[in-house]
This record gives sequence, structure tokens and C-alpha cells, in this order.
Amino acid sequence: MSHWLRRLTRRFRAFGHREILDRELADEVRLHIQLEAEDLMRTRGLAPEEARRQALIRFGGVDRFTEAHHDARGVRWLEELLQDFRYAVRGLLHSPGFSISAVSILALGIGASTAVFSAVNTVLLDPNYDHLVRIYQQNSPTNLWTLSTVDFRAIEAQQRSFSAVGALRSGEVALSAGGEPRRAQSGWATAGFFRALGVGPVLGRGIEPSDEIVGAPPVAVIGYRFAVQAFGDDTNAVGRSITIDGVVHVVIGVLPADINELAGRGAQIWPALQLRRPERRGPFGLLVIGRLAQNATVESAKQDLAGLSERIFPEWAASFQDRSARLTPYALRTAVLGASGQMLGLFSAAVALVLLIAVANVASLMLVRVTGRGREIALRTVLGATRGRLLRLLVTESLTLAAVGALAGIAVGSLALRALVAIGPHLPRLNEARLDGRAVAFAAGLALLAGLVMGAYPVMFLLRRDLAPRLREGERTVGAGRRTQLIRGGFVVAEFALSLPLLAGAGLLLNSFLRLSRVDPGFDFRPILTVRVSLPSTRYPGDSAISEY
Amino acid sequence: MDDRADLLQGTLDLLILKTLVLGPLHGWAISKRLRQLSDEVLDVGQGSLYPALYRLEDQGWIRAEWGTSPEGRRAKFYTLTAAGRKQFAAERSQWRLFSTAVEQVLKAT
Repeated sequence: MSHWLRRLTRRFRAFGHREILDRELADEVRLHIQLEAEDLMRTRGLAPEEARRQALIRFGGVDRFTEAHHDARGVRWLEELLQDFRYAVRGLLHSPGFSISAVSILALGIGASTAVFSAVNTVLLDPNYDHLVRIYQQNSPTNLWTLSTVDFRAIEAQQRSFSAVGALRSGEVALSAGGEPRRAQSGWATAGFFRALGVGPVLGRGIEPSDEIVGAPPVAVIGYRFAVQAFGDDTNAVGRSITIDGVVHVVIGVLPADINELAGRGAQIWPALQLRRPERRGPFGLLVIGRLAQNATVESAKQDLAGLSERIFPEWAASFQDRSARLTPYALRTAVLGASGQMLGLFSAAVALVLLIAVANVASLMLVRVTGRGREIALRTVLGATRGRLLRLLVTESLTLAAVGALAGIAVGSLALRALVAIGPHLPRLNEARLDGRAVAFAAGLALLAGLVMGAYPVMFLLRRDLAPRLREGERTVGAGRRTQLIRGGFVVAEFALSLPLLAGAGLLLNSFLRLSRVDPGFDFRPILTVRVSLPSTRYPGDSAISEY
Repeated sequence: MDDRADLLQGTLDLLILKTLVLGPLHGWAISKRLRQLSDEVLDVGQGSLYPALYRLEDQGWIRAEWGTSPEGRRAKFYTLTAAGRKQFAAERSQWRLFSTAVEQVLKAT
């Protein structure tokens, strides 16, 4: 083990310190020749010049010797790789037109994919949704609605599937922190709501079950952004008072800066939800979520809740007659993302197509390029280059291209991601999507794959042919023969023919994506101006007061 | 050149190890000693001596250090390690087995 480790470090030293090693070797060789010459002078009485000549002859070719020594160091493959890389860079610089177009195509493909990957990774694969469900009432496959106090209390008391359940009621309020009241989104939540989500305040305390009792002093957890807006600094927000719809609440905690929405509902403040003892089945309006217990699944929870529905609903039949309704859990991920999540999925498919087109395009360009270099490659083969060596040469070239493409792609991806966040559909956490380490690794993986495909594809074409006639043709005519030109032209045509349907497919997908996000509401909404006013129920009790306003 | 024997594959390592059993030597001295000990029959091609030395060092059988030669010159000296000594003993017995066997075959009439 240590033996191998030592040899490996020696290999790397041999590669990294090649010049030092070569110099040491040269010293050793010089000494050898010198001593040999002196020995010859002594034993055979040769003149110094002649002795040195003889010594050199005896030694053999110094260059060949150095080569052999490099072989013994076991770094030949690494040196060859470097040689291939230099050759590839030189070749690519030699034809800037090809290189620039190939790199830009790859940069677009890899960039777009990386951007969408980051978005999907952040939004669709958000681990925060794992094990969470939202509970709806459902009486037909498409008719789902919210829960009432009765339902929530029954679930709290009787469920056996969840480690935590919580309720949220959201709405618009008039909010003031000493100054002018302004409209804000409020999410009244129970203690279990935060516990189920696994979210807690960074400062102060969270909502406790005692805060939920009707008549307990009103308290609220507030979002970081509101804390900074209202109090200038999040650190001195705890203990201050805010007025929500005319009721003074004490701030007990501040949420982390990156949390602006919970379970897909955005709000600036999160007061404790105090549920009055229900007298009838309604009103509904509660968003109820649950965290699945250790051995529970969505399916088992569904049965649990169905049984619960059958026990509870008859008790309240007087105020609610629908007998087919059941409490039904859905994965919170589906509940929150819904159609927008599907759109993002659609978008990923479109972008994957774009990447495929990019790789196909560059592979075709490579093929055209390699066909143009047929004579060079034939010559190399005749001179003894093995197929593996040729493959390595071309793959190194395409990998170099792909690597540059990936670097540019990461830059493109970062721009594309910003554009996606700006114009894309509203999705929770989408604005948090960043090009992180995973995205870079993704881009690198794509580049590697693309490089291998692009390099191997032309070689497969090339190796199938007999190379000798190509060489002869090359000898007879300077540059490419007429037939070769025809073939090359054919390839270009074929390339376009292949990529057009792909491009059309991607375009159609993008188009349907845009249409989906811009469904015609059926009337012209441009001249209509809506104004919403929130009236605090404490100052405007009853419908008559509201209509007077 | 024709009166000199070509070295059998693998025997060079054994010979180099043998020259180093008596003490550290530098590259030229190794080749000189091989020539002397074999009455000028074995002349190690220098193109294979130094790569072989590097290989042996790689295996951990010899150690190289820069020092000063008896002629007062800076030279790289090769020393047999403990592992090298063991390797030498193993290779020597193997060689003896092999050469006796070959000799026996050739003697048969």
C-alpha cells in the first residue's frame, strides 16, 4: 500500500519536476562520458579528443537514451496527453472560425441546461418538501378546497399518521409599526405549522400552543424583511408592538432572512392563529399541512384521514350536507408547485433538446473538419499511429472545445438563470436559484459527455474507411479532391436536415411554454383598474358598517 | 561489438544488484565493474543502464544520493536497500535454477 503510494508520488514528481530530473540525468550522463573518456585515455593511451568521441559512441544516442529513461519513469502517457492537448489547442487556434462557432454553440447549450438545472434543483427538488403533505377536502377528482376549524381540530385530536400538523389562514391586513398603516400579507399560523415545516425564528421565540388559546395576548412572528423595514434592524424587533387590523400584537420572533413564504404562501408577518370554538362546520379557509410520521406514507395517511372523515362529518351534517367529501392528503410539493412545476418540467425538456441540437451540431462540424483533414490522418496512420492514438488525439481536441464551451456556458448560464428568474413563472424559491457547486459539476459533466460524443463520432466514420486510397488521392491533388468535397458538402446538408426538426421541436416546446404562461382571460382587462381596501373588522364591525364605508 | 553478449531480459537487474552488494557505486562505476567482472564480455548498453537504475529505485531496491566520487567529482551514488538485498538473493537463486536447467538441456545428447 505504502509502496504504491510512494511510487505514485514518484510518478507525479517525475512529471512535475521533469526539468530537474532531466538536468540531474544530464549531469549523470556527462559524468559518465567524462569518466569513460579518461578511462580510455589511461588504458589505451588515446588522445583526449578521440577518447571523448569513443566514449560518446559507446554510450549510444543521448536522445534515444533520454526517451528510454522517460519510459522508465512511467509518465509517458501523461506527457503524451500534454502533447495532445498542446496539439489540440494549436489546431483550434489555427481555425478560429470553427473554434468560435463550436464554442458558442456549446456555451449556449451547456449554459441553458445549467441554468434550468439550477432552477429545477432549487424549486422541484427542494428537500424541504420531503415528508410534507397538504390536506384538502375533496369530493371529486378536481374539486378540492380548504379546511375548517372543525376539521383541523378533529385531525389534531385523532390522526395517527403525522408527527406534526398545523394550520395557516392567510389574508390581507392593514399593518402598522407605529407609522402609517399599509397593506400587507399576513399568515396566521399555529405552533404546529412551524413545527411541521421545521422552520423556527432566528431571533426570539416561535409561536407556542399557549399563544393559540382564545384570549391569550396577541403575538406575532415577523419576516426578516419587514423587521428591517419597520425597525431598521432585525435585532431590536423582538418585544416591539405592531398593529394588525387595529389590534396590537407583540413581536416575539424574527424568521431567517431567506424565508419569505411558508408552504407556498407569502407573508410579511405570521401572527398566532387563535381558533374560536366552532358552532358549525364552516367557515373553511384553513391551509392544513402535516409532516408524515416515521412509517407513514401519503397512501396510509389517506386511509387514516378517510376513516376520520367518516367519523366526523356525520356529526356536523346539520351545517354541511356533502356526504362524499373526504379529507385527502397531497404531497406538499405537488400542492405548492402545481402547474408551474409542470411548466418548469416542460421547459427542462425544451432545453435538453437545445443541448442535444448543440452537441449534434458541433459533432457534425467536427466531422466536416476531420474529413477535411483526411490526408493528415491517413498519413499519421501510415506512419504508425494506432487507432487508439488517433481517437485520443481527436477526443482530446473535442474535450478541449467542450471545456472552453463549459466555461463560457457557466457564464451564459448565470445570465440565463437571472433571465429565467425575471421572466419565468412565479415559483417558490425560484429567486433563490444560484449557480452553485452542483450546477458547475453538472456543467462539467455535460461538457465531458459532449466532448466524448463529439470526438468519437467523427472517428467512427473515419476508421471505417480504407485510408490508402485517401492518401493516394491526397498525393495526386493538392488539398481536397472533388469527391471529398462532395462528400463533405453532403455531410453539411445532412447536418442541417437532422438538426432542423430538432430545432423546430424545441421552438414549439418553448412556444407552448410561453402560451401556457399567457392564457387569455377572455376579456380585455387593460382599461380596468382594481383597488382593494382592507377594512379592520374591529373598527368596521358587521356588513352594514362595511357597506357604509 | 560482436564478441560481447547481449544481456538476457531481466538479468541486468540481477547484475546491477550484484555490483552494489559490495557497496555504493555511481553509474559509470557500475558499468565499469560489470565489464571488469565479466572480462569485457558484458557491456551494458548505457541506454538501458540508467533506465534500469531508475526502475530499481522505483521498486525501492536501491537508493540514490548525490555525493563526491573518489576522483573528486559530484556523482549520484546508488546504494542497495534491505529490500534490494532480499530481492538480490531471490533473483540469484532463481537465476541459478534457470541456468542449471538450460545447461542440462544443452548437455543432453
